[in-house]
This record gives sequence, structure tokens and C-alpha cells, in this order.
Amino acid sequence: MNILFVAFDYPPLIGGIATLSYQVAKNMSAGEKILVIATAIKGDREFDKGSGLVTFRITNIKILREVVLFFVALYLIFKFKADVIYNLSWYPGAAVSRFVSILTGIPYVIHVHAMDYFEDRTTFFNRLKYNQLRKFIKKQTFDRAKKIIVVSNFMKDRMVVRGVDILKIRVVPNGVDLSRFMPHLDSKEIILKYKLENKKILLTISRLHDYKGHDKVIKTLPRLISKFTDIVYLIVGTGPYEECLRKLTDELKLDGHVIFTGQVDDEILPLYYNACDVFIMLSREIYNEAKVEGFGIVFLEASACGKPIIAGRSGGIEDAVTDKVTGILVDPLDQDEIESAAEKILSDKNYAEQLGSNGVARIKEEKLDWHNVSDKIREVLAEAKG
Amino acid sequence: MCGICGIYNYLNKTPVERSVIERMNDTLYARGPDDEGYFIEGNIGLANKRLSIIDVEGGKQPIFNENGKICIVYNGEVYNHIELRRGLEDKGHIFKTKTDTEVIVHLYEEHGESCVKFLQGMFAFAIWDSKEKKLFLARDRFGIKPLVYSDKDGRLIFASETKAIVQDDSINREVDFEAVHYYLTYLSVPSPLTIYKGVKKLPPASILICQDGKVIEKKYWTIEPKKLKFSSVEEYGDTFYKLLKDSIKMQLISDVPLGAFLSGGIDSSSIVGLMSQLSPRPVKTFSIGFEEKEFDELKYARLVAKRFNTEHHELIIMPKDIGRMEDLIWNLDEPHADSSALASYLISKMAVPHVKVALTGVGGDELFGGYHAYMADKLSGFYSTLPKMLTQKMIPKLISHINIDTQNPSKMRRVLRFLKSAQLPFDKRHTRWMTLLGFDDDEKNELYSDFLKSNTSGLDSLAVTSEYFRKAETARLDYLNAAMFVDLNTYLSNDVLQQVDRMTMANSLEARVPFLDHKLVEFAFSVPSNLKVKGLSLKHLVRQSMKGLLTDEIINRKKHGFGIPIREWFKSDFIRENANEFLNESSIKHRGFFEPGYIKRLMDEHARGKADNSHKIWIIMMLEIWCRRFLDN
Repeated sequence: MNILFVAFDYPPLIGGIATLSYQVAKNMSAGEKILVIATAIKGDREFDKGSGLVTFRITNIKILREVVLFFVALYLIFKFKADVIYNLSWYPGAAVSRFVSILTGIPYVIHVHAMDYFEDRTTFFNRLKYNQLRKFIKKQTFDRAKKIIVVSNFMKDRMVVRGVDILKIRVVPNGVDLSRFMPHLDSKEIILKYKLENKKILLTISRLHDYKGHDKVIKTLPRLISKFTDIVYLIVGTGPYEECLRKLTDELKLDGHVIFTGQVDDEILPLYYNACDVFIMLSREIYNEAKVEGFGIVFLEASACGKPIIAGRSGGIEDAVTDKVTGILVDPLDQDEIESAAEKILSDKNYAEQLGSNGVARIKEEKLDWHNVSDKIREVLAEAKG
Repeated sequence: MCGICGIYNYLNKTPVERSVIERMNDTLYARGPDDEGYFIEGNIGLANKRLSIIDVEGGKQPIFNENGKICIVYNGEVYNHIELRRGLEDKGHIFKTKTDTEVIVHLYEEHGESCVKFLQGMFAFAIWDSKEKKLFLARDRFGIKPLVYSDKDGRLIFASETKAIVQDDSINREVDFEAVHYYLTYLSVPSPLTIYKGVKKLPPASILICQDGKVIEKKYWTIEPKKLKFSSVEEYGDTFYKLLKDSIKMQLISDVPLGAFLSGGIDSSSIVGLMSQLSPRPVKTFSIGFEEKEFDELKYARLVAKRFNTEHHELIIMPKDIGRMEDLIWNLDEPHADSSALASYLISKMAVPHVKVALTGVGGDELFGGYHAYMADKLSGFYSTLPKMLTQKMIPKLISHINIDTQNPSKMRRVLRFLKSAQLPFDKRHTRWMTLLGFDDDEKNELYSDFLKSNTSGLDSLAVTSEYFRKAETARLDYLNAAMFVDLNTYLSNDVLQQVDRMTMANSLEARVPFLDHKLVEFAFSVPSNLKVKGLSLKHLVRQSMKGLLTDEIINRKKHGFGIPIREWFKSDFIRENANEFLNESSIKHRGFFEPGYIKRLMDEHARGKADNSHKIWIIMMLEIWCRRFLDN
């Protein structure tokens, strides 16, 4: 099968979706012919050289990119006899694919994550942007798509309510790179760096956004400190909410109990997971601003490293964390629930280990590694091809 | 699913007679053909007939707590029992079975009477607490499962159905004429009345405690609408979809085969669609159709079945399939003239060889605005802005002169029905539109014999709903939500749920109602009514939310009830013969309730095709059949 893979979120960009697009392309390329169309950004040449994938870079200037994508896609379809177009987002990839598909009859598939689908309409600018025309294009784009891949049952439900035919939707949960994320890695390096010997470590790895729930963990810390004096909350990542979180930490006088690591190198992330006692991320949904967790790859990474999880019951997280099996789901706004979950895991070592090992086992059983995830996607693409 | 009954002589120590309890329990045979159980100890006696659904082998009732001091007989399904059990086990309770029944016993130990607040599902049960010398009865929030009782001279008798209660010699089988009066308007006997004087229904969401020589009835739950700060219609849709899906998911627990009744309407189709997403095997679906084209929904049901690849069963039914009318009324237990009972009966009969449990779309119309009456309610809002001269005088005068000499339903007839009640106050006109098949006061005046008139004088036919209109006002519901609230508490509870329970139980099949999950209901009454009925489009929110689940043919379908073509069926020999037998002049005179002349006129008019009196004749006929089966025999 010849696959035209349109991914505007693709390395060297960083983040969950960029990781996914590269992992999927790489894994699928073992059995199928893949042509990647991505945006031209700094460092792309070096990346593409090492990636082993045929990659076409196009401009990311609005309006121009749509036109360029249209012609590049047409050219590649005729040149390489593509069987299916696989879009990693609905706009602009799938919206352009629709026109390509009308002309060529080649089916297209859309992979939907979360934030790429919902639209923030809180500000005047956004209301202008997400106007009726865009809504119309979106509907047309999804109506013509042969298959739609979503990352969680939550996303599936949301799309059904918005009128996407349920029979076209396939749920393919995200995966994790098992060659990197595994239990029992020596994380001394991290322990020493942040002076974490004999500490109880809570860890969040994510961009610092308001909906990720760092604030709720910080607010619960004083209560937890009264029970576990040696507790430390390690916040990995950067983002627009950092300033607020730092301020909150100061206000609550949590100096020494909260550590902001800033951006860390992707390569050593598994060590961070391995260093912690519990991975905690209390993402909540902020409906108006279209902020929600579609799945949460970090939870799988924590599970792959054999760690217990505390997660906010929102969005697609229920698919990423099995409640009371691989972690504990809590109401992300309820401090009592957060506190008792943390207390349970930090005080009951056996239980914590059980959750962790269940996580490792679950990933194996449900085949949540990139290799298998790519296979599942390949099946959907084959189905779309017909 | 089961039948339960019991006797408690709470003022003296008179022992409960085993033979009476056995006789009572035997009348409930169809509700639980798999097993039976008794607990009789001095002045208390409990019994149960069981239809085994969960823990088929180990669930024999009555069930006791650890020290044998607390005993329960129970009818229902508690869907969150596994979760509750986990919590109770953590607190040290020891379980002997895997049943939801036992969960209630331990929950009662833990929380006393408040245990009901933790239960999600449908239930009616009796707990005997021998330490406290207390009998505790409870019924689910919406009255999905029945419980009736009589409290006379220190003897409390309760049962799933009235036919069990009247087995006791202390009960006079005397008809309550107030119940008859309401039945003729509402087609069923409204709670808390039953057709027997002195026998009452325990209202939905109520408990009854009999202790220290006193009997106290209490409400444990009422709908409390929340103020939702939702910014878009989609958010309402998302929440609705999730709640319905969660409810269905929960209701799929069963140790026996499970299916769904599929009418092809939006509610049952949504349920089948979601079930098919949630269960690994193809869903078993059941549909009935009629030879009369206008009523044939099979086409739509088939579309849904095909879309979700269900194991579909369908059957065309005819009047003779009803069987003996006396048997039907025996199963109905009380007079009940909603023809959809026949549909429920026949579809259960068809499904029971394949499944023991079936999900239904019941409740969707009351919660999300599915009845034409809501449309009329909306229109009457505009109508009332017209000059009074026109609406109060000229139009009523004009329509009194218009007579439609036909049996066929027509738009004109609808308009006339609308106009006839449009000038009434809101609560009255809504009730009138919801009871169009019943008799109004003028008709009752002609129908009643002097005897019945004297026994019902001063009764207001509309009193049944006005109580709930007042409650809706306290709950600050907008006018259309108020109407839906009233219908949920009256029409759904008294008519629909009662007939669905009786007719499915008659076939030993358990019906489940995913729309009546209390979280979903609470949400429904927090949704502004203009989202439920947008413009004049009924069920707007449901249609919007199910767009991706169902196809346009189902989404855009016009409302069609789960009824049978009674008007057409009246032409059949089967119904005609029954009408001749039960409504002949001598039997009407013998009964003494009605004017034979008026009934003859109704029948003649119908026979000549001048008017559609089929439902009215059906109402009277069902009452007469009930009297013969339960009073004369």
C-alpha cells in the first residue's frame, strides 16, 4: 500500500502529536511505502536525513500552504500511485485532501487527537476565525473522509455528538516507545541533580498549561506535607502557565517541596519517570477554551516505566489509565479525592507497586507500543483503501 | 426480577398464617417462575417469587445479613451493586452470594433507611429488622418496580401487585370509585390509589417504616434541577450522550442473555446503537409490526438493525394474538386501557425465548420533550397573545358548531382538539392534551350512571396533575419543563411504567429503562426546555446529539407512539366479539356504573365510521373485564 502521510505536526517539532506522527510513519514504513508531507522548519534537513523516510517539506504560510499542499499531493499521487491519504489533523491536511480526493478518487483518513478538533470560541478573534465557513468546511471534510481515527472513546463520543458517522470512526489509542520507556532504569542522575534522596516524589511531565492541573497538585501539597514531610513535587516542562504556578508555590510557602525543572532533553525523560514514586497529572476540561486531554501519552509512558498514576477523570484519560488497576482516577477539582489517592499510593507500597506492574502488563496485553499502534492504523488505512 | 409479598401484624402478636402468604405468593407466579422463598416468624411473614438474573444459582431469597437478624425480599436490579459491594467489603461485611439483593442488606446495616439513596436502579423491597422490630419497605425513584400495601387494624400487607393483597380475607374487594373516576380520564389508576379501596401504592422514591405500632411513609428523593453554566448546545449534547451511554453501560450487567425492544423511534434506536458499541456480541433486537400501514414501524427498526448488525427478530401481530382478555387483565392487575400495553405484552412474548432481559426507550419522551402536547403547549403561548374576544368567545363558539364526521385522523381534527382546550389555564390544558384518549367531564356526565355520579361527586378529574404542577413551580422549572415533570410523575409513572412492568413480567421478562437513571433525569430537568423543543421541533437535543449515531431517516422521523392500531382493530371479529360480550346492555346494567344508552351510542357512532371512539370503548371494556375477572370470580 502506498500511503501519502500529511503531518503538519512533525519533528523536529516537539510534543505528543509530533512524536506520534514520526513513530507511526517510521513503524509503518517497514511494510508500506510512506511519503511524508510536513512543514519546513528549522532543523528539518538534519532530521529528515536521519529519519530514513521520504519527506517533502512545504511552507507553513497560511493560504499559501493550502495551495502548495494541494498541488504537491496531486503530484505525489500521480507519481507514486498513492492508495490513500493519511492526515494527522483535519486542518489543513484533510480539508485539502478532500479536494484532492474529489479530483482523484483517492480516499483519505483523518486522525483526530483532541485540541486539533475542538475550537476555542472564547475570544472575538477566535469567533471570527471559527466562523460558519470553517464549520461548513469541517463538516464537508469529515463527511467525505473514508475513515476517522480517534485516540480515545471520549473523542469518539464527542465526534458522534457533532454528527460524525459512528461507523466510520475507529478508536486507536496512542502508544509508547518501549525501547526507551521501561522500569528499573537507573535514575541516580536525576536524584542527585535535584537532591531527591529519600524523598517521596510526585511527578508531572507536560507543557505548563492551566488545564493540566499542576495548580491542584500544588494546592494539595500542604495537606500532604503534614503526613509526608519529605514530599517533593517535580514539575517537568515549560509553558505559559509557569509564572502562575511559581507564584502559587511562593504564596503557599512550598519552597523546597516544588521543583521546576524547565525543559528537559527528550532522551532522559525515562529517567524522570523512573525516579518518581507516583506520576500525577490532574488534567481537567476547560470547555469554552477547548482545552482537554484527548488521551495522554505521558500516562502510558509512566505505566511503561512501572509507575502508579493519579489522573484527573476528564477527557480521554479513562482510556489511558485504567481506574484502580494502573492508577487512581480522581475528580481533578476535588482536593479531598486527590489527597486520599496520593495518601493511599504513598503509604501503601505494595499497592503502588501493584498499580505500576499492572501498567507494564496492560501495555503488553493491549499492545500499546508504537509498533502495534502503527499496525492498527495500517489496518484502518487498508480498510479505507477498500 | 421478582414478585414479593408479606404480612406484618404489628399491633398484636397474631402469627402470620403460612397458607395466606403462600396463596398471595402464588398469584405472583409469572413475576418469578424460577424459585420461591418464605420467611415466617411469629407475626411477620415475607415471601418471594424469583426470576433469576444475577447469581442465578446462589441468589435464593430471602437473604439475611451475617447474624441472621436482617432479612430481605427484593424485586429489582441495582446496577451499581458491584461498586457498593466493594465499599461494604472494605468495611468488613461478609457476603455469601454475588447478588445485588445481599448488597442492600449490608447497606441497610451500614446506613439504615438511608441505604436507598445509594442505590442506582429499579427496585422494590421489604426488609425485616428483627432486632429493631421494624419492617422497612422501599421503592425506586421513579416507580419502575411496583409495591402496593394495605394497612388495616394493625395488619400491614404488602405485595408487588394488588391481586396478591386481596388474597387475604381481611381485605374487602371493594372498588374505589375515585380510582375509577381517574382511570376514565388517565387510562390507568394513578398513584397512590389502586382500584381497591384501602389498598395503596407506595409512591415512587418513597419508603415506608412500620415500627412501634406506627406506619410512616416518607419521600427520600426529589428531582433537584441544577443550574448548569453551559455555553453551547454542544455541551448539553455531550453531557446527555455521556450520561445515556454510562447508564446503558451500567444496565448491561447480567448473567443471562440480554436484548432490546426496537421500535425504530429515536429513543430505542439510540439505545440499540449505544448497546452495539458497548457489547462485544451482536445485540438481540425485537420489533413488532402491524398489517395496518400507518402503524407499521418495522421498516425503521430494520434500518437500525441493519446499521448496527443486530440479531433482529420481528413479528407482525394481529388482534387474536392478544389471547383471552381475562388473562390479559389478570396480568395487568388493575384496569389499564393504554393500548401500548398490548404492544408491550406481545413484544415481550416474542422476545422471551431469546432473552431474559430487554432494554427499552421508555422515559425519553417525558424527559426530552417527545409528545405533541409540548408542541401544543408552545403554540398556546402564541395563541394566548391573540385578542381575548377572539380566543375566549368567538373561536370556542365557532368550533362548537364544527363536527367532523369521520373516523380517520386528520389535521383538522388536531387543530380542533387544540382549539378546544387552548383557552384553559396552562395546567388544565396540558393535562387535557395528555389525556385526549380518555373521557372529559362533559362526556363523563353522560356516561355515568346516577350511582357512579353520587359516588364521584365533587372529584376533580384534573387533580392528579395539579399537585405536580405545584411541585414544579417550587422547583422553579420553566413552563415546558414543568409539563414534562408532571408527565414524568403522572403519565410515565402511573401508566407507562406500570404497564411495562406488568406486561413484561407476565412473560417473565425483565425490562430495563436506561433513560430513567437518576443522574440523567436530574440533568434532563436542568436543560432549558427550548433546547428540548426547539421551535416546534420535538426532541431537538436528542436528535442533535444522536446525529452521528443514527442515520437521517431515523433522526428526522416524525414522532410515532408505541401504540397499536386500536381503531382498525375494532373492525376485527376478535375485538367485536369481546365488545359484544362485555359491553352488552345487560352486563352494563348489571355492573351499574354506566348509562347503557351512552355506551351504545359510542359503539354505534364508531361502527358507522362517524367518529373514532375506539379508545373510549376500550377503556370501558377493560374495566368491565377487570370487574369480571377480579370481582365476580
